[in-house]
Amino acid sequence: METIWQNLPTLLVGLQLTVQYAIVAIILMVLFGLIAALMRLSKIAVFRWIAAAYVEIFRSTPLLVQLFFIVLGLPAILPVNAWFGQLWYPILAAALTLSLNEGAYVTEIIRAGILGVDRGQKEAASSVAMTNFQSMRYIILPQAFKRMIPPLVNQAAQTIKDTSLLAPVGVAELVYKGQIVIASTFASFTIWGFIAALYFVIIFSVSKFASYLERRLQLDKR
Amino acid sequence: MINVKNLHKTFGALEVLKGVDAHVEKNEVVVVIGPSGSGKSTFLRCLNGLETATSGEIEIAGMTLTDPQTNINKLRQHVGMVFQQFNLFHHLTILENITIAPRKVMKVKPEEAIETARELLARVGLSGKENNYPEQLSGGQQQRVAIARALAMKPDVMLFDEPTSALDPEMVSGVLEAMKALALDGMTMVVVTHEMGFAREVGHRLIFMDGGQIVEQGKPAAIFNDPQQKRTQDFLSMIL
Repeated sequence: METIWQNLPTLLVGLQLTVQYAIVAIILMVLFGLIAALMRLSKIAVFRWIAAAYVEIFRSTPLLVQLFFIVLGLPAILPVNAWFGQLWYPILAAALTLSLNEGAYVTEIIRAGILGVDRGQKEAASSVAMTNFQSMRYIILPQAFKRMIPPLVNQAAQTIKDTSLLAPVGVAELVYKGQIVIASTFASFTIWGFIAALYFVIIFSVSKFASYLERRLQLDKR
Repeated sequence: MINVKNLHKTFGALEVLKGVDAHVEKNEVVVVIGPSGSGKSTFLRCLNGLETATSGEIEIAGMTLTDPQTNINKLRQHVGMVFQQFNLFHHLTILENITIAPRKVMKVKPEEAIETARELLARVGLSGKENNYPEQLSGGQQQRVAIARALAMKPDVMLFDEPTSALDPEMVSGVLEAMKALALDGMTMVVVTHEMGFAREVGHRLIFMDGGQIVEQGKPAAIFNDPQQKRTQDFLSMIL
């Protein structure tokens, strides 16, 4: 207990960074996923190819390797540090890589959600002269979104956990700070146990909030 | 109002429509009957571009549907459609189902759209259901909402694709009554149906389709009483 208490400020700084990266990545993953899902369902073949390539590349390589490659590998061949700043490039690259990786999975969630909406809904929207955009925006996506909530929450939980992979590329989030604390205290068992508990509390709250949200949507809008 | 010339439609290797010529006058009610697989639903769905014609020409509400230059959404504003499975928007209330297209597509003011929707709901006998969701209504009620939704666009033509086929028997008459009232108001209608009573009573003209072609057409009474073609005779003897 004493060890945790003494090192709490350090760990909380790490936790704050974990939460910040998670929030950014969750927002961006939904955005990337939505764009890529719409591209995968597009009539234009080039859009479908680009989106399919994106999903396959990010799904078929480990996130840790992607992070090493983009955060640490790219600066070796491109002057990215000069473009974005020595300080900013690793931060932006880490957040973006994480978001793109999670977005690849979200693409499939959103695509399945859209395809799960009965064909008749689109036909009815067309029959009252809605454009493809209007029927997607007002008819298909609102219905698809409701059934996407459970898998999206799942993915959000995964994303929060995946922020721990940012430690090896130098992001001083919770795991990174934990390693620093352990290096000086040797309290491996206590600190890792405490860090696991912190992740648990965050993710458990998120999924509880999500099931509350889902129940409310079910009640309001059948 | 509708002019169809040599309409062909194929799905892969399957030729569903094999040269259909048809003409519908303003204010006319045309009922299309035929065995399943005869192409009657496909024919109807071609009329508002839900299916794209493989070849041939379709003119409807003063526009040429088969001309690639034609703005299909502009055309659809003039052509209402009612589906077998109602296809109401599940996530919207009855009132929203009726007002969403006028508001988003035709940019009608919300108050105006709501007023029109209430009038239409009264017309199909469903005042008071404004804030319900589709699932809370019976099939017959949902179908009448679907009629109101289509009418809210103030169409020149209404297409009905087997509007009573998915309904429990006791729900059929309410929908047919609403359609009959619409016909009496002078709406131009093309109705694909198995309701022979409706065809006889409300239809101005009957079209019998089989094998992707129009086999016979004429006044409903004439066809029911004295069908000229063997295939029409066979079909009518099976269902009447």
